[in-house]
Amino acid sequence: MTQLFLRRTGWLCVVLIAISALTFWLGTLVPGNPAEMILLATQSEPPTELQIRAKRSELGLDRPLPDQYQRWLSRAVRGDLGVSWTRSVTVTSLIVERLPRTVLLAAAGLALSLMIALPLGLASARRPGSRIDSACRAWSLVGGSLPAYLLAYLLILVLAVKLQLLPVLGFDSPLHLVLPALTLAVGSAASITRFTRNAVLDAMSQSHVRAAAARGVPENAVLRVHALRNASLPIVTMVGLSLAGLIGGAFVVEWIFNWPGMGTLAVEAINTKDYPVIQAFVLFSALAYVIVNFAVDLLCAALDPRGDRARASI
Amino acid sequence: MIQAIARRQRRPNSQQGFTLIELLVVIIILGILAAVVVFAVGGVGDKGRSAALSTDYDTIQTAQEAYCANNGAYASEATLVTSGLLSEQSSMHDIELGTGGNCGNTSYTITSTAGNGWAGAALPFAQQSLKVAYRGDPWTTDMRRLARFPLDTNVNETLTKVRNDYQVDPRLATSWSLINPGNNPAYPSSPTWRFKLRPGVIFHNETPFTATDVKYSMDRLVNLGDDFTAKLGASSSVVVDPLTIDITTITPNLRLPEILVHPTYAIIANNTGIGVPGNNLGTPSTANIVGTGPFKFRTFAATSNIVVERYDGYWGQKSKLKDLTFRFINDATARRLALEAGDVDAMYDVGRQQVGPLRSNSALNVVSAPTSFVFNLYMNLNGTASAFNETTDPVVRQALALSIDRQDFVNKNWESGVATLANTPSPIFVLGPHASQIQGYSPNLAMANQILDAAGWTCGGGAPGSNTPCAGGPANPTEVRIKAGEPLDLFMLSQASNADDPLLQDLKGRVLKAGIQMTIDSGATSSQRSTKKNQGNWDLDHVNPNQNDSNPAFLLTLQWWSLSVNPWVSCLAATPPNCGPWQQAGPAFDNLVAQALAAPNLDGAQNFSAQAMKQIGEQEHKIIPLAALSRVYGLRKHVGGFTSPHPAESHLLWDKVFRSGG
Repeated sequence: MTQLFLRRTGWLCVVLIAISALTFWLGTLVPGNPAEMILLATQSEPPTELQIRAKRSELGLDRPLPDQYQRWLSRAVRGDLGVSWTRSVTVTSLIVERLPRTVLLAAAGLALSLMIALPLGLASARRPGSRIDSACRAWSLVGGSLPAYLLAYLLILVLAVKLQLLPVLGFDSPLHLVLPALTLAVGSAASITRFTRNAVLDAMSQSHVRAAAARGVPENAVLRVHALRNASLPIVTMVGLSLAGLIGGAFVVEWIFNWPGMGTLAVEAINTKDYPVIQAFVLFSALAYVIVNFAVDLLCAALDPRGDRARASI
Repeated sequence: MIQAIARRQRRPNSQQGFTLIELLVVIIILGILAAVVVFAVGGVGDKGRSAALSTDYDTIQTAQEAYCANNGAYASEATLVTSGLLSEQSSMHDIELGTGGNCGNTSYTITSTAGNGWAGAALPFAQQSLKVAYRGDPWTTDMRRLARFPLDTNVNETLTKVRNDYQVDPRLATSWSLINPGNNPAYPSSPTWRFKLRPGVIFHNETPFTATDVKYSMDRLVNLGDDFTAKLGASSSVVVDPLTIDITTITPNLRLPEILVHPTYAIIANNTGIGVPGNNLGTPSTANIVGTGPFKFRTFAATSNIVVERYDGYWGQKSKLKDLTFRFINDATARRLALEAGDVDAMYDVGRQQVGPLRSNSALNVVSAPTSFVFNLYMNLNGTASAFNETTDPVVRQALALSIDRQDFVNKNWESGVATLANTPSPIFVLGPHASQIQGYSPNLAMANQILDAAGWTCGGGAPGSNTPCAGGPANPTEVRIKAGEPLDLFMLSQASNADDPLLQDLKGRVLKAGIQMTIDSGATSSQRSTKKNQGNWDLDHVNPNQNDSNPAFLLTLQWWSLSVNPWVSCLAATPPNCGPWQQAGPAFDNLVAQALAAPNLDGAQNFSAQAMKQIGEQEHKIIPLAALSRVYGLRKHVGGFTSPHPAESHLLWDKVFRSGG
């Protein structure tokens, strides 16, 4: 396990460096002059050529690209992601402010989706071909097909406007978390339901599970003791992917519900061409995926010691 | 027979009657049908009420126009009844008369009776809190005008105030007079405006309001480069005595009192220390957001809300509300749903397509202000790139204008009471009595086709003047005119998720009947759109500029004057290629604007502004005004006192609004 951890960590560093290089390179493709943009944002008069050249030199933009990357990387690892071109605050401070809110929303969405998906998936797998199974598969199809914005409006209309059960949007109280979390939960629950069903069915068809059933072990015990552990690996992988997606991609939901998280920040930055913030968001989203997948790998290794030796050699 | 009996006997009992599944399916179908009926019928009462509202509004409008035709002026509701044009006074609407309209210099405003008969008695002061939805945080990227513009939270006040009819009233200045040029040695050619200030005014931080605060506020604008159109300089403001200040502009500006109504020129206490350059004002607090208004600043949460509370030391009529929260809600649909759910009590900016549904909701009132902005088609008048120079041709511009039936466009796209046909780029009543100079013009599709054809833009490969039919009916395929191998394709600036996209699609269909193709740039981001506009890579744009001050030449100076600082009009404040003279209307227009700005009185300014608008509008078609629009507000029934809202959203006052138990 220790060997696996060390190897995974090594690969994580390699992937992170590759992502940072890609993000930096994407930033260089942006049209326009960053020095001029920064000066326009921080002073009232249009900058002169002399001022622009001085700013470029100060920022190191006149140096070769590898040198610029090295300077950018050395600042980034110390948490310095630059200054927002439109808000005159550090990008890091913006992320520090917004990230916890997005994590809270993603965690709530994931918790809700698991509460919905796992029981449905299990119920579906226990009675394959039954009406329950058909209903769960239909729900999985519909839930996965509904666009997030449509679902958001529908939930607001029904739960907030018609039934007056919940507030529409805002950030003031725990109740404000329910609707956006539910919107996120439906989409990911649909796919997790399907995955759970297939994984459990797959596990139930294994010979050791059938042997246990043949020995007269009660159905619940067969499921809980023999099948679920095997089925948990793909489920955990799917949940991990869902979490990473929720953290990095809940733009629409955050925008509609006015949730002041990373998604709203990204939309505002795109609209105002605030490239340091956009660049930081791209880096952050990639990091979220990589780190969550790393954690999922370790968790899978802990859950399934059979593959430890095989994985350790990768 | 025996075989039939045997068959019946062989049939198992379980196949007789309905199965559980069949019953379930039937119940589900019945449930769906019931839901359809309930939702379809449930709104009948509300729809009927909405229709009654609409009819009542139209009836009043028709009566007013008939009275105007007979008597040369608009009338009060009582007069319309006594003259027989109305059978009785309306219980759903009020009429407020004003000046400056195009019927004997009178105008009228029809507002729904929110708060007069529907709201009921006001709640005790302790319960007088209101939440209002606004379209997103306007200060996300620039906090220099926090609490003032574009959302006016009534914390700060200006020296002068603009009425609903766009005439100027005293506010923090009680009077003003003009002193001949030479009074200020820094600007010897400009006359000086001397403002007498209101005594006894106290700021929210309990310091007295004096001329020093006015100087501080104006100097701060100059330092920040935030002076819109007043043309202030570093030495413009001179304190004469604690209640007198002289302001001399860099170039002569005889419209200064009309310009100073703009919230940008609001007065800030000079001991707040917020003269810092750059965008960042620092952390907003009660120490640095200080004004003299009926509300004082309480808190600001970026992207979430701003809260203000009543100021008990206000020099004028104190607010009825204890506190007012402006909630920033980005998404238009979410804003509307928040109003319907009761999360907010009022909302700005009811969208064009939301007016009908909100009017149908019996728990809500929809109030429209008088016209304050116009949906216009702008044109690239000086495009140099070959792909973007078609609209430099006056024939193309005229054909474009004639091909659009503007009245039909308005009727098809807006609910009654929120839009009328526009003949000027600004609301016409800013022109006062000189609005009569504007005649307007009628659509003429045949002439549009004819003049294009004669100019060489032909269809079907015909020779110029051959008048080969182009786009149109089902028998003819859609065809775009061509000249020298180039199609008449006009590139319309737009952006993704543009709420006006259906309007653009409507226009596209109309102009195609003259053989003009309109390519709409729907996928751009807002920053891409700005870049294209500033660099001149466009033919058409659709803009709804607001009339935010009383200067009749306000929009003319911003949008078409060669001395405008907007980068799509000139390069005075930007550098090529991110600027250009794309919207400059030319020397003749400049001359009229200069005369408007130099006119010694408002009447002169209105006269020359009217001439300028006529020239760029119906004479040279350098702009196509389409619809004169109103700001529309949605209110819960318990919101009272929201009558006669100002045409311009940035001058909306909340001091008379209250919350009732009704």
